[in-house]
Amino acid sequence: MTASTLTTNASRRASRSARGVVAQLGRDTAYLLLCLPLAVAASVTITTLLTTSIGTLVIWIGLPLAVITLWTARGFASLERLRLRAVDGRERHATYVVSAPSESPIRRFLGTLKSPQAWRDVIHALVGIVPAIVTWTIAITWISVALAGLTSWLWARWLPQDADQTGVPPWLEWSQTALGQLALGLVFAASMPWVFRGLTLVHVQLGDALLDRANEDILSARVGRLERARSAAASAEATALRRLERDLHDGPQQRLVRLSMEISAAQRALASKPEKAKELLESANVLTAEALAELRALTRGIAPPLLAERGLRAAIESLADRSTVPVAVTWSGTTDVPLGVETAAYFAVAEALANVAKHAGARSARVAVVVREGALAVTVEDDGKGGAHRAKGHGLAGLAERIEGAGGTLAVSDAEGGGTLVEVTLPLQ
Amino acid sequence: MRIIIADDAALIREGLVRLVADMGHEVVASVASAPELVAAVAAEVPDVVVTDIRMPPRHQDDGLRAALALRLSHPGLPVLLLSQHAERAYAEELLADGAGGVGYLLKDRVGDLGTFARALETVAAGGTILDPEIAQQLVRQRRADGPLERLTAREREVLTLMAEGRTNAAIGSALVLSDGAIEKHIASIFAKLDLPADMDGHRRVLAVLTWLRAR
Repeated sequence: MTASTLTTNASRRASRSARGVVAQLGRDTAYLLLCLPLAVAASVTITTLLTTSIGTLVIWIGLPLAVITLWTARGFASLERLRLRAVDGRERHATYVVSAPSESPIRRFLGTLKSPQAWRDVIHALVGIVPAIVTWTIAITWISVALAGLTSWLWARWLPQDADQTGVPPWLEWSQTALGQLALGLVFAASMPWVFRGLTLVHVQLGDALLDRANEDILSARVGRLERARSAAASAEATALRRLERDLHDGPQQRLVRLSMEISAAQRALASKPEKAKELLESANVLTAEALAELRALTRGIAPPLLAERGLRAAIESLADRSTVPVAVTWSGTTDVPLGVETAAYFAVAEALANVAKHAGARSARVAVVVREGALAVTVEDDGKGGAHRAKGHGLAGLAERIEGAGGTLAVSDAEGGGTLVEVTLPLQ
Repeated sequence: MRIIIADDAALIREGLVRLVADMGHEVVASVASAPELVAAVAAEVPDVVVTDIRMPPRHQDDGLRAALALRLSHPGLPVLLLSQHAERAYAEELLADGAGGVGYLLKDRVGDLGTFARALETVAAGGTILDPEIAQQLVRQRRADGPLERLTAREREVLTLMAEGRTNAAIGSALVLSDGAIEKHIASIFAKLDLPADMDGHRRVLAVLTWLRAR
C-alpha cells in the first residue's frame, strides 16, 4: 500500500465521521426543537384528564376517565418512543399487562388500570415537562447565538449604535466588536453537536428509565401466570387421579371379582352339572370382554398411544371416529406442536366431544385446529341446544383447570346458530 | 401353516404359541421385539406373521413399522396385527399397499377361537380382516348430510360387516339373512356409492375400504 492511498483512506474516514456528526446534529436538533411543544401538550392534557378523573372518582365516570387518561398517556409515550428511535436508532419496547380474553369486556377495559407501564407513561407525561423546558431553552439560545455571531458582520452596521453599551459588563465588552461576535458565533456553532448530544441524552435517560421497561413487566406477569398455572395443574392432576381410581374400582375391578366367582362356580359344577358349568364359563367370557373394553377406554383416557405415535391430528381424528355424533375435523398450520400442548389440546377435544354426545342433543359437531406462530387454537362447535356453562359441572370446569395448567385459556359460549362453542388457546412453549 | 409370533408380553406370547399349536399350525419362531421379528422372517419366511403393535425397542408402534417394512421387502407377506387398541389410522397404513393379506384385530378377539382361526386362514389366503371396532370407525358419519346418509340402517350394517372383510355367507349368518337378500343389499349399496358392481371376494373388500378411506 502506498503513502498516497493511506492518506486518502484517512481523509475518507475523517469526512465520513464529519458527515456522521452533522447527521447526528440534525437528528438531535429536530428532536430538541419539538421537545417543548410536545411536552406542554402531554403535560397539559394528562394533568387535566387525571385531575378530572380523580375528582369524579366518587361518581362512576372517574374510572373510565382514568382508563382514557392511561390510553392518552400511552399515545404520547408511543410517540416519544418513536422520536427516541429516530434519534439513536434503538427500539424501545414496553409491555402492557393485558387481561385474558376470557374475562368480561368490563374487566378487560378496567384491566388497563393494573398495567404498571401505563402508569409510567403518565409519570413521563407529567415529569417530562421540566427537562423539556430547560433543554429547549438552552438549545434555542445556542442556535440564536451561533446564527447571530456568524452573520453579524453582515447586518450589525445597520443596528442603531448604543454609545454606552448599557447592560454589558466591562469584561464582556470584547464581544461587542465585530471580531468578537464572529468568534462567539464560531465557538457556539462548533460546540453545538456535543451540547445538543448532551441535551438529548437527558431525554434519552428519562425515556429509557420510564418508557423502556419491557422485560420487567413481562417477567412479573409471566411469574404470576406460571404460579396460577402450577396450582391449576396440581389441582387438575389430583382430580384426574381421583376419577381414575373411581373408574378402575367401579369398572374392571368389580368385573374381575365377579369373573373369579363365575370360574370357581363353574369348577364346582363341572362334574355334576356340565350344562350349568358351560353357562357359567360363557358368562365369564362376557365379563372378560367387558373388563378388557373398560380397561382399553381407561388407558386411552390416561394417555392415548396414537397421540404419542402419530400426533395430535391423528388422535383427534380417532376421537371423531369414535364419536356417536358425526364430527368433521379441519386442521390448518404445519408448525410442530410440543407433546405437552398436544396432550392438553387432545383432552380438551375429548372432553368437549364427550359433552356434545352426552348433553348437547346435537346432530353434528365441528372441530377446528389452527396452529399459528406461538399458539394453538382449538374450537369445538355443535348444533345442539346450547347453554353449556362452566359452572354447571359439565366436566368443563375440570377441563378449564387442565388448560390453565398448560398456560392456556378456555372459553365456553353459545354458538351463533345455537349450540355450544368451546374455544381453547394454548401457547406453544 | 408355518407361523411367526411376536409379542413382548411373555404371558400373551406363550398363550398364542399354545393356541396356534393346538389349532394344528407350526410356530416357526416366537420373538419379543421388532428387530427380532425382522431377523426371524429373514431366516425363514412364514405363511403368516402374527405381531403386536407396541413392542421394544421404542415401545411405540415398532411392531407395525416392522410389519410394514417386511411387506416392502416381502410383497404380499401375510400379516395379522394384534393390539390392545383398534385405530383406523394404523389400519389405513397397513392397507395402503393394496396387496391384501393383512389383518388387524383387538387382542380380545383371540379369546374367541373361531374368530382367531378364521382370521389366520383369511389373511394367509390373501384376504383382509379388520376388527369390528375399526369397521365401525370407517363407516361412521363425518357430517350430518354425508354420502352414507343415503344408505338404510340395514345397508349400513351390511357395509360394516363387509369392511370387516366378511364373505357374503358370513354376513348372511351374522344378520340371519339369506344369500339372496345379502346380494340385493350389496348391489344397492354399490349403486348408491357409485362403486362398480362386478367385483367379488377380496377385490370387493378392498374397493369398499378404499371408498371409505377416501371419503
